Amino acid sequence: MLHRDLNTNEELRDAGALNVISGALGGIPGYHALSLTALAERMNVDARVAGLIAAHRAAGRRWCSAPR
Amino acid sequence: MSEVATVEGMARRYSPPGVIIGAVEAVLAIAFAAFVFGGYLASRLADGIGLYLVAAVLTLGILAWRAGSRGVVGSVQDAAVAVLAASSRRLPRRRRRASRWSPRRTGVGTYEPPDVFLTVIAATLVVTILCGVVFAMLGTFRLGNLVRFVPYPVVGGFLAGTGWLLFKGGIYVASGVQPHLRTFDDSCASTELLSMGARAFAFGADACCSPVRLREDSRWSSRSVLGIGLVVFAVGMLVTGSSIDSAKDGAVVARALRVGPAVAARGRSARSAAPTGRRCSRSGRRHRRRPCSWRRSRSCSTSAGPRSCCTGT
Repeated sequence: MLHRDLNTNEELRDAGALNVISGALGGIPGYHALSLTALAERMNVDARVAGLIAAHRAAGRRWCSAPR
Repeated sequence: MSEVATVEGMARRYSPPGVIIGAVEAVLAIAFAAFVFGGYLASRLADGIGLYLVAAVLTLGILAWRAGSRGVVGSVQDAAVAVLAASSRRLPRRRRRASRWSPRRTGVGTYEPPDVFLTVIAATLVVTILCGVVFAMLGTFRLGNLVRFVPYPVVGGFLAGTGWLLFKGGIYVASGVQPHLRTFDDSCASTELLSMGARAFAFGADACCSPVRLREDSRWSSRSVLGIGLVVFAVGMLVTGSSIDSAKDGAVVARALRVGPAVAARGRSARSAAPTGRRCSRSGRRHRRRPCSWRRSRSCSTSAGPRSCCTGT
C-alpha cells in the first residue's frame, strides 16, 4: 500500500509497547490498521500528523463530551 | 512544500484527514464498547466507552508519534473485541453457577460473587498486556518474518471466525436479541425484529457501497459519506422533532417509522424493569403487582392473585 518496505521487527516492538501501556489503562489491543493507513495515503498526507490530529479529536470526544 | 511550511498550511492540509480518522476511530471505539458492554453490562456502558476511547487515543497517538516517515496509522482492533464480547456474554452464566456451587463446595457461607464488569476489565487488561508482551518479544528477537510462514488457511480461518463473531454481535447490537440456532425461527417470526434488521442491513450496505459509488475521487468519498450521514441525522432529528435524550434512548428511528411500541420502548426498558403484571379486567391497563396479602384493590379484584393486588398506574 505504501510502496515501501517496513521494518516488521521495529513495528512489532512499537505495537508491543503501545499495547502494554494501553493494557495497563484497561484498553483493548490495537495495532497498525490497513484501512486507515490507506485512507491517509489516498489523501496524500503524512500519517504522523494525521494520526496525531486524529488522537486529539478522539481525546476531545473522551474528555470534552464524556457520555453520562 | 511551501504550503506546508506554515502552521496554517499544515492545519489546512492535515486537519481534514486527521478529523476524519479521529471520527472513524471514535465511532469504532464506541461501537466496540457497545458490543462488549451490551446486554448484562448496559448500565456500565459509559465507563466502557471511556476506557475504549482512551485506548483509541493511545493507539493513534503512540503509533503516530513513533511512525515517523513510515506513514502508518494505528487503530483499535476488532478481532480481540469479538473474543472479549463472546466471553463477557458467558460470564454472567458462569457467575450464577459459581455463586450456586462455591459455598457448598468451599464451605464459605458468605461467598460474594465477582463483579462482572470488573471481571471483563481484568480480562481485557490481561489480553492486551499479553498481546503487547508477545509483540515486543517477537520484535526484540527479530521474529517478525515468521509471519510470512503462517499458512493462508490459518489466517483465513481466524479472519472468518472473527467475521462470524462480529456478524452475531452486529445482529445483537441492532436488534437486542442474541442470535442462536435454536431460537432462529422464533427470532425470524417477529416482524419488528425483521424490520429492525432490514434497516440495519440497509444502512450497512449503503455505508459499504457509498465509497464504491464515489470512487472517481477517493479523496472525497469518505468525507462525503461521513458528511452525508451527519446531515441526514440532523435533518431526521429536525423533521421528527426528536430530542437528544430520545436519540440517546435509541428510539428515534423506531418512533419516526412507527414500527411499534415494543421496539420504541426497548431503550427505556433496558433501564427500567419490563411490566410483568396482568392486565386489569375492567380498564385493560397493565398494573403493577405488589405483595399485599390483606387488601385488594377494588378495580381489579378478579384479576389479582391471592397474594397480590394491583395498584392502578
